[in-house]
Order: sequence, then structure tokens, then C-alpha cells
Amino acid sequence: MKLIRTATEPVAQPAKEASGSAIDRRTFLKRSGITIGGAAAATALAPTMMRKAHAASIPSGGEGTKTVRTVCTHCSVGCGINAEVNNGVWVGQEPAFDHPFNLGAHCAKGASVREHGHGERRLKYPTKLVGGKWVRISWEEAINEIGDQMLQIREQSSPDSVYWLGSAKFNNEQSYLFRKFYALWGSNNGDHQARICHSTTVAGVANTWGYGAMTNSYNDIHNSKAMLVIGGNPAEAHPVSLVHLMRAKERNNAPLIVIDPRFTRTAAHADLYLKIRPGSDVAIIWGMMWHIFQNGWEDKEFIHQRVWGMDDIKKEVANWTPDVTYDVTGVREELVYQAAKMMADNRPSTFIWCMGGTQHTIGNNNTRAYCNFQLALGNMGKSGGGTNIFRGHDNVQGATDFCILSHSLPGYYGLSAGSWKHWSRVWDLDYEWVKGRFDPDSYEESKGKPVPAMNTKGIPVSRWIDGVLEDKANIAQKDNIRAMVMWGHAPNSQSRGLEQKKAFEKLDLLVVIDPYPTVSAVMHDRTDGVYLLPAATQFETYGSVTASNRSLQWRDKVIDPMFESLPDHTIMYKLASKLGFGNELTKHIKVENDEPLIEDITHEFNKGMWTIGYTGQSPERMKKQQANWGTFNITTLKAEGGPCDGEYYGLPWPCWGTPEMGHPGTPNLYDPSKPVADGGLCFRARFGVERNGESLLANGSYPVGSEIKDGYPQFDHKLLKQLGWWDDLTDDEKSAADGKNWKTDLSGGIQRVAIAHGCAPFGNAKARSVVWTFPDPVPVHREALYTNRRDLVEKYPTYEDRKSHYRLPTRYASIQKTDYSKDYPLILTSGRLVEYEGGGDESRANPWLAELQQDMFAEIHPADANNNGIRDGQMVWVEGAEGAKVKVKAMVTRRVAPGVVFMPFHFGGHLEGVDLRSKYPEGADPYVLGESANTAMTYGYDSVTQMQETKCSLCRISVA
Amino acid sequence: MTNSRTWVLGLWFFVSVVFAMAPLQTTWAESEQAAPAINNPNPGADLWRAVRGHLDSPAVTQVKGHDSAVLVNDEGERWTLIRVNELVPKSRDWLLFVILLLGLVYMIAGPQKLQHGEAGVEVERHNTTARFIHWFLAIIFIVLGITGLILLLGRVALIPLIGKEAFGVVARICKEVHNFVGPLFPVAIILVFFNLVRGNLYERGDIKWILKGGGFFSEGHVSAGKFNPGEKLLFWLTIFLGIGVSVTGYILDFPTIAAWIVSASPDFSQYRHVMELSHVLHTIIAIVFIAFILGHIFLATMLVPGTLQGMTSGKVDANWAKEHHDRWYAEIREGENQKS
Amino acid sequence: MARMKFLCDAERCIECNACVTACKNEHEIPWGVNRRRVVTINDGEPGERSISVACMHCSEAPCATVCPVDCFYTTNDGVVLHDKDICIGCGYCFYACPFGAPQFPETGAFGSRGKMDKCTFCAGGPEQANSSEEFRKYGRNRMAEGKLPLCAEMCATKALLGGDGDKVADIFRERVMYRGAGALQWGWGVAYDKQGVKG
Repeated sequence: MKLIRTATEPVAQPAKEASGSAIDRRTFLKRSGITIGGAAAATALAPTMMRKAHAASIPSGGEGTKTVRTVCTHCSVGCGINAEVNNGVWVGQEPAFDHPFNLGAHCAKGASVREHGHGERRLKYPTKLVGGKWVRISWEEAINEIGDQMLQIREQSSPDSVYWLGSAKFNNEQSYLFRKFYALWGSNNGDHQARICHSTTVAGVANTWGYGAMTNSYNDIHNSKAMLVIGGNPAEAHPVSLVHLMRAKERNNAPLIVIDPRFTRTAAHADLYLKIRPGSDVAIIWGMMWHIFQNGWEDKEFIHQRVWGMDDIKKEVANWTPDVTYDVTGVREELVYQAAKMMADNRPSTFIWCMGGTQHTIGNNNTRAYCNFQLALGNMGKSGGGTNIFRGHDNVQGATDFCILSHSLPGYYGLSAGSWKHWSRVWDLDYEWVKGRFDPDSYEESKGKPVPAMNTKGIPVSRWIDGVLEDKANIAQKDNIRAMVMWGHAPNSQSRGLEQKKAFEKLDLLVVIDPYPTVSAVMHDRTDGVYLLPAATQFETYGSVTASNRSLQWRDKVIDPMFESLPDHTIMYKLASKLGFGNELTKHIKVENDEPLIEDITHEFNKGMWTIGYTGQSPERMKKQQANWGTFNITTLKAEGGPCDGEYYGLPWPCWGTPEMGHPGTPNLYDPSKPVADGGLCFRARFGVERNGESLLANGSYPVGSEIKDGYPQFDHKLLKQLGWWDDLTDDEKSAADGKNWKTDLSGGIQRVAIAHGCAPFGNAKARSVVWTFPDPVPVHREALYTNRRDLVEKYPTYEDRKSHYRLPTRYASIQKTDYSKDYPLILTSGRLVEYEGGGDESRANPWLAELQQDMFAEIHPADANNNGIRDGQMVWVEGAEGAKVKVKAMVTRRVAPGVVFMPFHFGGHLEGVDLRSKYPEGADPYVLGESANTAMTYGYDSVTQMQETKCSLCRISVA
Repeated sequence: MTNSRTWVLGLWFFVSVVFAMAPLQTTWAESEQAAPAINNPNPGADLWRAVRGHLDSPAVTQVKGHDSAVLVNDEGERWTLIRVNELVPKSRDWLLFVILLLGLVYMIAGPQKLQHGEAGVEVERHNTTARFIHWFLAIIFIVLGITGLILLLGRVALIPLIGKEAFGVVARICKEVHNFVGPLFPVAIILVFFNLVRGNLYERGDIKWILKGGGFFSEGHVSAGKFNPGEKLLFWLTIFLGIGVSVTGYILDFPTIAAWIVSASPDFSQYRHVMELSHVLHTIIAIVFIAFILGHIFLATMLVPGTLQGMTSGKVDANWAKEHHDRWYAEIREGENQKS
Repeated sequence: MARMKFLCDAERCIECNACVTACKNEHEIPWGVNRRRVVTINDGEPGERSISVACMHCSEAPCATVCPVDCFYTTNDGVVLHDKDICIGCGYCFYACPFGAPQFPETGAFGSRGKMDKCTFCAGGPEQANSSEEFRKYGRNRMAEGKLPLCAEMCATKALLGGDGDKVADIFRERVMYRGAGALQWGWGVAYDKQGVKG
């Protein structure tokens, strides 16, 4: 809400003359160099700028200033930004009041993104480590040397010995190109942050009702009558989302319930706060559902029509009486009852979760328990309800959808031969050629048959260190990982820091491609074989980006790449050319000066992403929406009039069919109150049509306007013919669709016809409460591997060890059986700060942010502090249960419960008390360094996705 | 009229000053009661008490710095009121009063000539060291006094005359001079102390001098040593006011000195309220000090001729010595006799 | 005549520090100087509330009252500004200010603080509006461009409101009506009540 200034005097005109200028980049740097004299920032002022600074000073808002509409690169809210650029310099940042997501609002990070256009603490040119010293090299040298070594490793071992670790900071086009890149390299050993962020959500949620994404949107929370946040701290991680929660709180008087082990900034605004013991998410959910079932608050009609297997859940929930729940979670009955009642009484109520729920060895159980809660209350597929899963990075949703993952091809097609054939057709490449790129041998079996490397899940990012360190006889691939490409990934976001250090040191080749050197450059003691390549930031290139609510936004380039940095897709092309598949990578993509054309990439993925409806969002449609973002309703996200009339903002996927079909996008998933053509949906028929003799299809529930007034399976050519709708296809569509289904018909005809008859292309089924393909079909509570509640281990034991899980042996029971709690009595958990993001290399290099968080710290309850003789502000050692320790500042606070220690995970650059600042390339060290919390974090991986356990481990503390 | 009378006048003046400062005490107490309340009662009442630091609540902020976690600085208002309503106008009024008073005394008592005229023979009263130390202190005092008064009273006295811009320059110079010369003041005080402390201890006869009011109201001089009790009072006031003005001055001048000197004691940190209190005390002490020194200068230069030269040439007329400091004069005569 | 005011709605403030960095961004404030800060009370306990605080541009500004060189002035919009050419860096305004608004670039020996710096309500200073001289000393002059303070404009939850006092009060009143709770206008009593500062 922009307030209008009502001065009675005429507003003074900005000075027009050239001297009426604000500040040029050089002056800014000079000044900040002088004034940043604090102890934290004392060292290493950056050397000379590599790019010519503009000689003339730059007028602030005067002539020649143009406004660029772009999108914040920090979190998944997708805040719009009006960047003011003059003569190539980013001179101003204005709030985008008319942007439908953020209404001009920003958090600390978003309000300081302009620093990107001025920051000096960047990786400035390709650099390699020679004899322990950083040496500047040219791009050509770098690409040639890296390429030669990779080809050699490919020759000696197999393509699987090079690991491609991508990034949620890529835009969609880069994500897609990167996924295609390592597919054509011939390996599934590629992954990105989603693995350690929401992989358990994607797996758990997609296996419950079809898609693994946030079902509604931030804006839709306006319609909620109650809100529950568990394992999430949006006030710090997604601050702008709070503007939507506050609106529901104020306008609807919607109670906000926060369930978290920590009294967070979000909890401060809660109407009801439940402090649970870390790792007891399933228990608290079942505890609430016990009251729901006890009081008959469940939505029986909804369950009857749209849910399969709720009775099994009911049976498990019956075990979670208030006493049992109290014992496991530490929450008293009346609070559990109140929370359940608030959610039941105030429907539609929404359910929000983040990393506190996902990052556990039973992460997939947690997420499915959450889904079941919403299914029981009938909150799914309703505006104001839904599971609003807040994703992390700005494009982690997009990067996940393009499956920069080790277990799937773009669009969650999986790794089966059929999936490879589908994508080979989209790429216009010979499937056999693609197949020939892979190691032809098989290392795993399925149903007694060997599965070739091409079709086996690769090693996930959470376990790459084991891919390097584990005995190769135990790994389901030819050889260990020998080369690691860290392409936009911070290693300090991963647990088991000391082992990671060892893994870094064992590699033959380490390549870091990032705008910042990252902790990867310094945490090891290598003296050779490390390359740092400067990537451009997302403000220095353009493309589309998917916000958490599945909306795709077009992000414009603000400034040219600084220093010698290059956009990621340019680097991909350069490297692919060197590795011999540059032409295949860009067969239908125009390349100019080694830069593949972004719009062509968008068009290419539009042709293949049928499963999740990334097909309707052409660059032209996205650009039109970007230019008219002010015409969208801030609650419904629907354009009211204007050029985009009727479309939803960002064409939230699934945006069915071809762009020409003009589907408006789907604002809320599975919402049958709208026709499919207008964004309505039902649950996806993904798990077959029957189970144990019971139908899995929906029972009398269907989207408005559906010609089939009941459940139906997914559409394929046969179903169309049976229904007599085949002739609705054009002749061209018919030839493309014959023998295909809604996912593989490249013409989009099957989707178009299904929607024309009011049907969802993916069928209309029930959600399944029981995921029979998972280790725990009904989600159950299991104690963490490192737990101090030994009395509960027997009752809620973890899994048996597994021999090959994503190619690697994975330990569970063999760790849990040892009692570590005597030496390590305190629970260790971790989380975020508002000022920093991810590994923090970028945000700690931004002085405006870094000044606000100068010291790595651990939150310790006064009781534990007193027991260990610790005073507030003192330096302490926090030692993880595997013996790795970090030296951090004690913050004695009641935010945490007695017996719980919390650390933020954004810091890096110190290792076990040693300051590594001198190891950074000159002038590229972030302003603030600190111990990485994950150094002390321990082993533990989810049973379905290999998500790392970072929320529940053990530690001890002592004065340093 | 004798010159002793002037000393008594001085003493009386001191009492008056102290008395005049008394209303300050009341203001301090009053303003505590009158701390502005947020009147509308609301559910967040506890919150606002916490805001003002009246609840034992942990307040935090990500911005580093002294007092950055304090939301409302209550003492600030009290300090503002004291400075604006008390220190500035009262200082101005009292200094004017002192000057007028001294003028009045001069008109009534005039220059106090020696009863027997000058003897023409001089005796040494202050040696070179003593004179050096005196003038060292005097110059610092005058510089600090003038710059301090300009900073205190310039806004009311000088801005109307020379305007803000020019006064800004003057004030800036005054502030820098005051801050850089100030730290020397305690050095001078220490030197003066060691140099003159022996002559300023209590002697027999001093009580008689005091009882007789220094002879100000009686005919004829009252017997006195090298320093009469009036001068001794000045000495001790100089020492104690000097210490007071120095301690408060150092706190104001070196905002991190507490952390530096007494880092072991977290209880004393130079937060705003310490600085505010220091400022008030510094001003009060300085004004009292200046008032006394004005009296001292007045006595030495105008009221009692012949005194100043004891500090310039170091020698005084024998008759001056005999009249004002008869015992001391006897001593030096005796000393001379022994020597010869 | 519009009277510019700030209002921080403690029910909404989530201590995200956007206002702090927005200010740094807009005015290119150096490390160590923070014209705005967010203070959290009852931290980590029920009742925790955060409040963003900067110069409130008081009606009878104590800083102006105590300034020995009288370098403060109030604009027609009710914005309290100061002239850095006159300021001598004595620190009195910091002692007097209820809100801890005045900032000094250094805290050195011999009372060296540098010229005082504080929130300008994005209204610059006495120099020519939007001149480089003004920008260097006071930061950008958004008011002259018809814009409001960036901290308030960028506030994540619209907790911080800045602008015409009447409009700010209207928005806040509407919110309180929905909320059904008492008025929590932080700092208005101190900053804008006539009885706030006597004398």
C-alpha cells in the first residue's frame, strides 16, 4: 500500500544537470573500503576492479535511467524488484508495489540485492590452485584443462566418476540445460540442493496425491481460516510470506499455530505454540489426529470420495493417546487438543511446513503424516486450505521440476527406458546414441534382472562424500567419484564436515563454478587440482524462475556479468563443446558467442514437460505477464482485464497443453470447484486403478464441468478412443498421439481434448494415505539415529541397514544401537537466519547483510549454560556425536528448550576453531566467516530420498 | 576593610552557589515522576513497560553498538530537561551574578591599598617552578573555561550575534580544543597539588583567622602564614573540583575508556546514562570552579593590588607580605637572618 | 499541511531487518552506522515483539533542543533534519534522543565521533535536492522525488508505515479494527505528544 505524499508545496524537481548525481560504482567502493573498518571486515580489501568503472558519475533517478523488472534471487517467494539501471550501473532499487507476490515488500536480503551490482567480494576470473597458491588463468585454459582431465577420468573409470552438482540458483532454462548436460555426458550422478531441502516432501507428497509441490500459494493463504506451521520459520526464511499470513490473521481472525522445537520469530506471532522435542513430528501429528478422530472432526464425505487407506491411518493414530504423545513429543494434552480443535473448527485451514519436517531420517514419514492430517480434515483442493510447502531457494522448485536430481529426468519422468526415449525424442537425438554415452554395465538388480547404470539412480548430493570415500566394491557403479563439479552449491550446507574435507582431498579434480569462491575453495588442504570458475549471478542473465507456488516468472537481466564471469548456460556450452557433445546439447537451440539462446531453451522444454504442465509457459506468455504484473488480483492471482485477462499469475503449473491452447495455469492443485480449463483439478491417478480389490479412482468427485461424473484413469490414446473423443484431435495430433499417453504425446492433443471435455489429463483418483511402495507404508514415528531417549528406541526403532540405497550402503540400526547420549547429552538442531541464505557465501559477502550477523553462535538454554559454566557471549565448543566440533559464540536464550542446542547453518570459513580467511583467493573472502554448523552434524539419511538428518542429533558443549 | 574580608565574601559566594544548585535536585526527582506515560491503556501495556526497560526482559538487536537494544531512552529526556532548563540558564545567570557581585564588591571595597604603602623592598613569594606550574594550570583552565562556556552558552549568546554557520565553525574549534587540551588538566592539577600541598595544610592560627572572618569586617589584619585559610580553601577546591571535572571529563572525552580501564567490570559501561550524568556533573563542577576562579582572579588582580606580581615576577613588596602574611614574612626574615 | 510520521506495528514486525538493509541500500550507509534498527523485546519468550526504530521526527525534537550549535531544523512536512556543515559531533543529540537515532561514524578518543548521521525520512538535507553533495552527506532525497522512505515502502509485512500521519493512522486504525485489539502505536506518545517533552 503506497502512501501518497500530500505536501501542499510543489515537489522539488530532481536536479537535472550531470553533476546532480548520486554515486558511481568506484566512489561507492572507495568509500565502503574506507569505512568498513570493523574488526570483522578488516582484512583484504579487494584489489582493483577488473571491469572499467564508469568514468562519469551516475544520476540517481535522472535521465537515462531505465527500470528493469526482475525477481529476487534469494528465496522461493519470488518477490518482484524494480531495478533502476543507468549506463550499465545498478543505481537504484524501487519497491514493486504492484507485484502480486510481494506488493513491494522485501526482507533484509531482498532489500539489499542491489549490492550485487557493486559487490567486490566475488570470484573475479578463472583461477586454479597451483602448489597451494591461487593462479589466474584464462577461460580457454580452464575449460581445456578441466575437460582433458574429465575425459581421462571417463576413459579410466566411467562417466559415473564425474559428479555434476548443480544448483537451485539456476533459472529454469539453465536447470533444464544442466540436466540435459549430464544426461548427455552419460551419468545419473548429478543432483542439487533439493535433495537436502524438500526431497522428502516431493517424494512423500507426490506419492500421496500426484504432485510433490506446494498445492496452493502464498497469496491463497488470504483465504485461510486457520494456519498451522510446523518445522518452519517463515518469519526468517520467507519473511515476505508473512504479509499474507498476517492478512489472514487480521482479516479472518485466523489463528496461527506454530509447532517447533524452537521459539522462533514466527512463533512470536502465533496464537498457539507447541514446543516439541526435535524429531517427533509424526508423533505430534498423530497426537492431534487422535483428537480429530476421537471427536469425529474428520471430513467423512471428503475421505469417502477422495481418500484411500484412511482406515489404516486411523489404526496407527489410535496408538497415539495423549499420554503417549506427551511422552514422545513433550507437549501437554490440552495444547495438542487445542491445536487440533483450532484446525478443525476453522476450516479451510492451511498447513505449512519446511525443513524442520523434511530433514530427518524419517522425513518422508513426516511429510506424509502432514498430508494425512489435511486429508482427514478435508482441507485439500480448497482455496484457503492445502499443504503450503514453502520451498527454499528462488528456483529450487524449478530446478526440482527439471530434475537436476540423480533419480529422474525433467518433469519427474524417472529413469526408465521409456523416459529416456521420450526425452531423446524431445531432444531430437537418437536414443541409442544417448544410451551409448553411459556405462553399459549393470551394478544393481531389480526383480532379479540386472539394471544398467543408465536406469539406476545416481548418488545423491547428500552422499557424494561416500561416493568418494566408500570402498568401491560397496558402490553400485564402476569406480568411486573422482571429479567433483560444485556448480552453485555450498558444501557447508551438508552434514559431516570433516568427512567432506577428506572427500575433497581424495578427489582427482575439484571444479567450483560459482559467483563466489564458496567454502569449497578453502575447507580442504589441497594444493593442486582445484579450479574456480566465476559464474554470473541471476541478475547478470535472464530467464524464467519458478516460485514456490509453481508460478513461473520472467526475470530480466539487470546488469552485464561483472568481472570475467559468464552466465551458467554459457559455461555449460563451453564445457559440453570441449567434452564433445556441444552440438547435441544445443541441437535446436541457437548459440551466439557460446551463449545458448534462453528463449530457445524455454521452447524446447515446453515441448517435453507434459507431466507437470511446463508446456504452456512460453517465453512470450511469461514476458507478457511480467509486463502486466500489476493486473493480477493479489488474492486469487487471476488477471482481471488487461492483456492477460483470465490467466493466473506465473501460469502456475500444470499449465496444460501447448502455449497456443492458452491454459491459464492452476492456482490451487486438486481443486474441483473450477473447471480444469480454468485451473481446476482432481487428485492424480498415478498409482494404478485398484489396490487389494478396491478402486483407487475418485468416488463421485470431479472438477466442475467434467463430462465424466466420477473417477477415471489417466488419459492415453486408448481411453480417448474408448470415450469416442479420438476424432476431436486434428490429423496432425492424431499421428503424434497414436500409441502415446498424456505424458508422451508431443502434440499436446490428448491433453487438449481431455480438458475440452472437462477432464484432467492425469485422471481422477483418490489420494492414498498408505504408500505401499515405501519402507513405512503408513507413516510411523521412529527415533532419530542419535537420540538421548534410549527408552523410546526399543518401541520406535529405526530401519535396518541397507546395502544399496542410491548406489550406496546406508546405515540405520547399526548407528542407533550405540548409546551416545551419555557423552553427548544435548540435542543438536539447526536452522536459518533472515540475513543469510543457504551456505551464505553470497550474503556474507554483502556488507549490508553481513554487518547484521557478525558472529556464528549457538543458542543454549540458561539451564544448560549454567550446567556447563557458560556465560552469554562466551566462546564455546559444540561437539557433535561423531566427534567433530565447532567453536562458536554462546547465545544463552530461552528460544530453545532445556537440553536443546540450536545453530544457524549459514556460516563457513572456520574449521574446528581455525580461521581459513587466508586461504581464499585475494579479495574474494566474504566479510563474515564463522564455523559451519554442519561440521558437527552427524550421519543419518532418509529411507526414501537420502535426505540428510540435520535437525536432530546429539552434542555436548564446553567453554572454549 | 581588609583583604581578608574578600575571602569571606568568596566563601559566602560558594555557599550561595551550592544553595542555588539545590533546585536541581528537585527537578531530577520531579522529572522521574513525570516520565511521560503512554496514556491509552492497552493490552500491550506490559510490552510498553518492557520497551522502556522497566521489565526484566531480554532485548536484542542485530545492530551492534552501545545501547542499541534500548528502545526508549528515559534518561535522555531527563537530561534534556536539566540541560535546557537548568544548566544553560542557571550557568548563564550565575556567572552574570558573580561578575556583578564582584563588580559590586569592587565598587564598595575598591582596590585595597597597603596601609603603609610600598616598602620598596621585595621578597620572593613564588619560585620559578611554582610560577610555571601555576600558569600551566591557569592557561589550561582559561582555555577550557572559555571553550567550555562557548559550547554551553554559545547557542543562546553567540548564534544571535554571528549566525549558525559561523558559530558552527567556532564551536567546532572550541570542541576540538576542549577535547584535546582537556586531558592535560589533571596533569596540571597533580603538579599543583605536589607543589603547594605543604603550604596549604592546617596551621595554628588558621582557626582564629576564620573566626575573625579574615579580618574583612574588622580593622587590622588577621595573622596568616604563607597562605591564609581563604587561599587554602581555594587550593583544596582546586584539587577536588579539579578531580571531579577531570574524571567526568575523561568519561566524556574517551567514550571507550571504561571498557579499556575496567574491562573486568561489566557493571560500569559508558552507556548513555553514564555520559549524561557525567555531563551534568561536569557542567556543575565547571561552573562552580569558574565562579571561584573568577573570584580568585578578581582578588589577585583588582581587589588586592600587589598580589599578581607574586605570580609574575615571583616577588612581592615586603609591606604586602607583612600585612597579608605576617607569619610567613616573619619566617622568611628569620630564614634570611639565619643565612646571614 | 501533511505531517510525516513513522509507525511500527509491533503485531506485524517480524524482525526481518529489511528496513535496515533498505536504508543501507538507498543511502549507501557505511558499515557501523545504522540509521534504523530492529529491537526485539522478551526475546525467545511468549510476548516477544519486535519494533523497528529510527528517528521518529518528533514534534518537539529533543535533539534540536539540546544541540549546542542549533543545527537541526524541521521541514514543512514535519521532518527533522540537520545540517552536517554546522554539526560539531558533540554527541548531545544521542544523549537526548529517546530512540537512539543519532549515529556517529566513529567512537574514538578525544571525543571524536565525526558528524552525526541519522534518518532523514529520505528527505536529504539542506543542500540542493538530489545533488551529489546532498547524496554524499545525507543520502538520497526520495521526498523530493515524491516518494516515501524506502524502509517503510519495503517492509516485509507492512509493519512499518511511514508517510502522512493522518493516512498512517487511518491504515493502522483499519488494521486494529480487524484485529480487535488495542492500539499499539509504538512511540507515538513520545514522539508526537505535545506533553512528551516539556520545556
